[in-house]
Amino acid sequence: MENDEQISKKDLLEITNISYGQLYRWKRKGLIPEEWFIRKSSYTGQETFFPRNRVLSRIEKIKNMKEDISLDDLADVFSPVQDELHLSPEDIVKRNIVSHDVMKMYQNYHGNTDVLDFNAIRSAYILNKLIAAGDIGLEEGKSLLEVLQEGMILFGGEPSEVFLVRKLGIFSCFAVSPPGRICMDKGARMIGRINTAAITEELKLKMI
Amino acid sequence: MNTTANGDLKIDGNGSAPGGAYDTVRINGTGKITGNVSCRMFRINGSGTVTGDLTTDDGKINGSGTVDGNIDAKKCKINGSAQIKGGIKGDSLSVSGSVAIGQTVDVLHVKLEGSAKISGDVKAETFQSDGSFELNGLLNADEITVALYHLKSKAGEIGCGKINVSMATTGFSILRSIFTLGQYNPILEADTIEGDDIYLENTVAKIVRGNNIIVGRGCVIDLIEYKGNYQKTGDAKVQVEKKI
Repeated sequence: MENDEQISKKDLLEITNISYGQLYRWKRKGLIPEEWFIRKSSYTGQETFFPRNRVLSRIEKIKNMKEDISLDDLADVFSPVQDELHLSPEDIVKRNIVSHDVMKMYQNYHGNTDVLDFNAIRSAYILNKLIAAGDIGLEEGKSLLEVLQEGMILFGGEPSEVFLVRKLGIFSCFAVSPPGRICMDKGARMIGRINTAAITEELKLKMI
Repeated sequence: MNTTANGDLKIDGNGSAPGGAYDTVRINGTGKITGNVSCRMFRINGSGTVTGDLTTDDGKINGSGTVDGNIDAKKCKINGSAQIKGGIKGDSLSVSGSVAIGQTVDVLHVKLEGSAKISGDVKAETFQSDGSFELNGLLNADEITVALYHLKSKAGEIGCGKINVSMATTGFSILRSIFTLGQYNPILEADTIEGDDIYLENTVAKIVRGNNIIVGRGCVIDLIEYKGNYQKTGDAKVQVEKKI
């Protein structure tokens, strides 16, 4: 899905000003995923490349955070595996992950539950984010929650992207499991695009 | 064979037992454990086999051991020879003798004396080898210390904070000369070596990249790329040197 250009290891170290030792340490700890190390042969022999945007933003995050969080905790944040984390609706509101009104709406839709698992928290968090930004209205949130839930069943834990579109004022949304391309009706306008993996990271950081 | 109420397993002489959870597992003689075993302490004195995974706080093989699955051990010590078909995970691995590991080694502190053959990658904070090792994948460790004796050591790629490769200074040892089988070739061979501080002797590599690099006697290197200091001593042969 992400049309990422690539960056060589040499350039990466120079731009980010990190050393080989750091890069390999972060690789050992799983902070930089194995799949991002792309081997290619070049005129000097083997060279390693990385997906440019993703690796640069990841390294920026690691550099900004590493002082107050241990590398192992950080590895958890970046791990695509869903945490065994459960929170009660009250806690979620108290921790400012989701506002009171959105939580109420979530419960209206899903029924009252004592605890929410990580995926449920994430759905509520996405909803909260979009409503707070004014991208969608409360009613429209229902169809979003539906798509998030269906997507979870369909794609399992794999990262996916959710696209929000509006045509003649009518809201609709759909989830895509990468890699995939989309082509839309010209009258439709894309109003938002949510990367679930990025949201997962963001949310985990809030929950540490 | 004797399984006591408090969950110890002991095989004296010749015997076999099923896997499971135990406090102490001890094989004195020849023993085979079928399936996965998890225990606080694991000992083989003689020869032993585990046909599944081994999970233990404190594992020690004196003699010979075979594990068909993976080892997850806080402490794992091998005196003699061992064959692990899976990988090893844990805090420390120490080998005196020889070991063959089928998959990845993910252990904080690795110490090898003798010979080791590893089919997967190695991830460690410290990696120390006195003797020879052969690994096809990536050796990724914060600090790597390699003392070369008689036999060739080999890694696909090496990535580290600090690496020191040198000829062993100790004199003749009977045990070590037995391992070499008459082939005297004390070099380290690798495709690429990348690290912050690199000191190499008797190393043959295509590319060496790093911040501070010193190449000493016996090195044959196609390309060196350095950022900080670079020094060539002894009879080192370097085709191309580039400051970045």
